[in-house]
Amino acid sequence: MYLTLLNGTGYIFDVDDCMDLRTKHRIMGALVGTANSRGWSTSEAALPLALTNYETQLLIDEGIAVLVSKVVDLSKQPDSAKLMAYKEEFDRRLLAQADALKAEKLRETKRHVDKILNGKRNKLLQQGKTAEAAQLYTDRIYDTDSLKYRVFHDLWKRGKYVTAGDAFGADFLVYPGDPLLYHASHIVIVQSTPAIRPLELIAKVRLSVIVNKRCVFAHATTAGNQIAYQTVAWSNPSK
Amino acid sequence: MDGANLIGITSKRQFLSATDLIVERHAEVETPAIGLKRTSIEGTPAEEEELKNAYANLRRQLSARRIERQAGRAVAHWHEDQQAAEVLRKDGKFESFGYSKQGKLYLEYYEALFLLELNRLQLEYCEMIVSVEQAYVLLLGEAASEKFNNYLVYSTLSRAGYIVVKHQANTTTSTSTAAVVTSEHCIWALLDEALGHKPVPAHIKASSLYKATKERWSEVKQQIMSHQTTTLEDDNSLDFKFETRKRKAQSQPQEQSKRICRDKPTKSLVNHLKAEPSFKKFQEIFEKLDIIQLQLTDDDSEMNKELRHFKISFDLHLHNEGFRRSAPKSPTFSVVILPTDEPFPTHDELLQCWRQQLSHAVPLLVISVSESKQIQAFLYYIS
Repeated sequence: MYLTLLNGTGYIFDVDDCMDLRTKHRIMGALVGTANSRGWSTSEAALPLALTNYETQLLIDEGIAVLVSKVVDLSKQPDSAKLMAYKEEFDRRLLAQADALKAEKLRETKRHVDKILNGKRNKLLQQGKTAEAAQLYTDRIYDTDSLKYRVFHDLWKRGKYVTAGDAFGADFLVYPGDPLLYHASHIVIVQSTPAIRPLELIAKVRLSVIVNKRCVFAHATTAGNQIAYQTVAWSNPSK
Repeated sequence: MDGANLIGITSKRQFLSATDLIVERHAEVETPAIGLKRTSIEGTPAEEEELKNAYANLRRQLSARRIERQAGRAVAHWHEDQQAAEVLRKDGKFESFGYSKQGKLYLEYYEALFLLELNRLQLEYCEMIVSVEQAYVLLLGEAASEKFNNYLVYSTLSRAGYIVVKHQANTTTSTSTAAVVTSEHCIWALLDEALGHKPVPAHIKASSLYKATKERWSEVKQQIMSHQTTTLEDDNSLDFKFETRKRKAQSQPQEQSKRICRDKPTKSLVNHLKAEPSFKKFQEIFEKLDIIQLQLTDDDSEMNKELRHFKISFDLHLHNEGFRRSAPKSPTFSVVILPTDEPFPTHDELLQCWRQQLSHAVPLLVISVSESKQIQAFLYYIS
């Protein structure tokens, strides 16, 4: 899978890639395109899918995708031969549509037209595929030694669905399943030290209780290079 | 990067066949109603079905095509060297889009991308129609920049129903350009210049009254500074002496005063002073003056150095207020987009940003775009 380098991170423009990332690799990203539909609501997002830089880094580290820079290829001037070919191809497609439009009107003769169209479609499919030259982008997108990235990677490896946690003022949100269908179950706060200040603890835990989630503090263990988690749940002794 | 890193990618881009095009040309993608989310995985068949449907819906939503008749879209050409999209053919309402330069209409990068994604614009580069991906690369660029967040905010606000235009920094409001310049305008412009550090608008400077007003202005200023008495002086000069002696409270029988208090609870002790002759004199003076709140209370030349500068990116107008690009009124809100990871502006920074506007009545809308590309907007009213 190829990620297009934009805004210093990876972007996805393909539906299949986007669905694969979600269903196979539990990477959500954010849809940032403007949907070509009437009305407006936040659910009507469209491709491209913008990944956070730690998501991009994880996909590269796990060998799921490569990040490529297409700026040279996409902004170079086409030579005259390529331009000619493009125009011919364009005209051919328009002409094919003329045929098809006629076919739609002449429904009675559709059977005969179908054969011609099929032939043309196969031909077009073969010609429509062009090769793009893209540059592999090898620079690091996100600091893999940073605690935030290590926590993200660790949670992801545990099979969780992890997204950015800014909606709740935290670092990450953890979901039991695809966020499309499930509420987040945990709010994750990355801590540089295992010690938590009392006021901070109260604030974070109270928030998580109100939104019906567990509060998780994540920090690096002092000895090993592992991530330790501390989950806080509310208990009401009067009940 | 060197040539060794070059890889060939078989493009996934393919064109729809003519028949598919015709089938899908009027397809409307509806956003399916999403039911309540679940809190935990139970592994029931109903749950699996739900998830399957959700994925199918998402896929359908994301697979929406942008199909239009060949002549049904506006056409623009991308000039890579100028980094500008020149409109070659307009189509549909173009009222709130673009800017004119040397008789040609150009689109800002966010306008071009917005129209392109709404299937209203066909962007061409080197005589070839660009793909959405190519448009992102050409219009927003590969490097990390504010353009991406600007576009997101532009798109969201536009779809929310606002007319979003680039912030107008140096044009005057239509109300003042339309009216004939009177000496009152000159005085206000001069006041703005002196107190608000705003340049005097060109049309006021051009007025014949401007010079005379300015001369009179400096004359008055001189008079005030040197305490010279002029003909304007009141003949019954003021006696600013206050009576500092203790005053007797109005002696009244206790029961009576209680009743008065009940009857007129609003009468306070302060009101007793209203009968004093000095109060009347002050009242007369104040009635003669227009009292204007001084907006600059500080000498901010030194303070400015430590303040971060926030740029106003967009002006927001409402549709029902009769927006015209040629003569924009003062906007409903001015939009400031916070750079990533930048803390919110402090009171002083906000004030500085607010002052750079033409009309001080316009509240600031400070927008932050979070990591998950959610947009949060905070409206600041400054009184």
